[in-house]
Amino acid sequence: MRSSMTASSTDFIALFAYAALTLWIGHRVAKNEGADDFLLAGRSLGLPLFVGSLVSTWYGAIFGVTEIAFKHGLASWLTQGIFWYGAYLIFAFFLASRLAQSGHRTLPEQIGALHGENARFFAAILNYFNVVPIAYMLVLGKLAEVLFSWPVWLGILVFGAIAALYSAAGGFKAVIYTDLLQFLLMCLGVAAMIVYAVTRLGGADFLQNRLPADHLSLLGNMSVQEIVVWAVVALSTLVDPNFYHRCFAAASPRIARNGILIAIFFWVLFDVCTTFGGLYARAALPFWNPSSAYAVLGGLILPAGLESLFWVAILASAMSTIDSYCFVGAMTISVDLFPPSKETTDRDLVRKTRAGVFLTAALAAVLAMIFSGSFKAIWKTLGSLSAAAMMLPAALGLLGWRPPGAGFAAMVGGASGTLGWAALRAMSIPWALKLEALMPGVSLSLCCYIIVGLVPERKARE
Amino acid sequence: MAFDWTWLLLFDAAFLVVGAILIVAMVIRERRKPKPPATCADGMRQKAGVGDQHGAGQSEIEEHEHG
Repeated sequence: MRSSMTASSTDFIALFAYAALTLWIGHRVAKNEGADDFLLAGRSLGLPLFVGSLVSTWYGAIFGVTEIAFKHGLASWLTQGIFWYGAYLIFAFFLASRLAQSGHRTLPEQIGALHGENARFFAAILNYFNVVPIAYMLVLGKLAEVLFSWPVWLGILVFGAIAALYSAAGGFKAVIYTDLLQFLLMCLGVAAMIVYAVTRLGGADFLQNRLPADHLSLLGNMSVQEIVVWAVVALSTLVDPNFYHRCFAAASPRIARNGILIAIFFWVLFDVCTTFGGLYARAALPFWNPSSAYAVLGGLILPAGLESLFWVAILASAMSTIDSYCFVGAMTISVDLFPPSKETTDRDLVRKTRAGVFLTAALAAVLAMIFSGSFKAIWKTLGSLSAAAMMLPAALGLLGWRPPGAGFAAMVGGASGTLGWAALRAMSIPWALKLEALMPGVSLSLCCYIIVGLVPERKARE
Repeated sequence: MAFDWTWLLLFDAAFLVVGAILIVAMVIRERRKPKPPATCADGMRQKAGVGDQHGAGQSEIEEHEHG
C-alpha cells in the first residue's frame, strides 16, 4: 500500500505492457480485405465482441461518474445509470435491428437515407465535432501527470498516439479487439476496488455511519428539474455514433439487439461498482477533491499488484473510448464529409480513413491542451448540439415517419435552439441558467418536425 | 435491524469479473473455431484440397454450382 499516487516500477511495467499489447493487437489484425473489412470488420461482428466493445467504449471517464457519486450520492446512479438503461432498451428494441439491416456505414449516412443529402451533410458536421474526444484525451494527460509527473501534453501525446496508431493500422477490427482487452481490464479494476473497499473499510454500516443522509437516497440532493434534464440527456443515446457503428457492423439484427441487452447487464454491474466506489471515497476522504478522491482511495487501499491493474483500468477506459471516437470521426470524414466517388477504390477509402484517424486524434489532442481548463462547457455544448439536432430526425425517421423536409428543418431548429440558449447562459441571464441548453433545443426540434411534417399532409388533403 | 446489503456489492463485483472473463473466453472460442465455407463451391474446393480458382478441380466445382 502506498500513500502517494506516484507510479511504482510495477505500475510502469503494467502500463507499458498494456500499451504494447494494444499495439500488437493492432498489428495482428492489420490484414484487411477491402473497405467494409477495414471500416466495419466485414459486418461480421459476433455477440461477445459486440458486447465487450460497446461496454468499454461507452465508459470513457470513470472519474467523472465517481465524482458525481461523491457529490450527489446514490442519485448519481439514477441520473448516470437508470435513465440510460431506459434509453438503451429503446435503442435495442426499436432501432438496433433496423440499423443492422440498413446496410449503411455511418450515422450521417443513415440520416441522409431518411431525410436527404442536406440533412446528411449537416449531420456529418455536427457528428464530427461531437466525436472529437477532447475530454478523454485530457484524462490521459492528467493520469500521466499524476502517475509519472509528466507534463499533461506528453501524456496526451504518448497514449493518444498509441490509440491512433493501432486504430489506423488495424481499422475497426483493431478497435474492437483492443476494446475487448480494455473491457476485461476495466471490469477487473473496478471490481477489485469494491472488494478491497468492503474488506478494508467495512460494509453497509461503514457507509451508513459516515455518509450524509441524502447520499443513500435514490433522489439524493438533486432538484426534480435536474433529474428531468438528465432523463432527456440520456435519450442522446438514440444518436450515439458508436451504437450506430456497432449495429451496422453486427453480423445479424439479432446480435445487434441482444448485444445491447447483454451490455445493459454489464453496465448495471459496472455502475454499481463505480457509484459505490465514489460513495466509499466520500465516506473515507470527505474533504478531498471529489474529482480525484476515488483515485486516491485506490492508491490507499489496493495492494501493489492490484493498484497497477487499477491504473491500467483507468487508462483502458479512456483509450477504449478515444479509439472508437477517432475511428468514427475518421469515417465521418472519409464517408460523409468527403464522400467517395465512383472512381474511389477501396484502397483510397482505407487510406483516407487512416489519415482521418490521425487528424481526429491530433485535433482532439491540440484542443485538449488549449482548452484544458474550460473544455467541459464547450464539450457539453457540442454534445447537446448534436443530440438536440439529430435525436428526433433519426428516431422518428427510423420508426417510419419521415415527411419530406421535416428532418432537415428539425435539425436546424434543434441546433439553433441549443446554440441560442447556450449563448443566453453564457451571458449569465438568470432564467436561462435554470435550464440546460439541450431542453429548448429538443423542444424546438420537435416543433419544427411536427409543423413541417404536417404541412404537406394538410396540403395533400386540400 | 437494517438490511445489510454488503454482500450484494460483493456479488455485483464477482458477477462483473466472471461475466467479463466469460465474454473474453467466448471470443477466443469463436476465433479458434474453423470458419464455415462461405459458399458451396468454396466447400467443394476445401474438400478437394484445391487452393483457389486456379487449376485442378475447377470443372467439378462448376458442375456442382450448375447442378
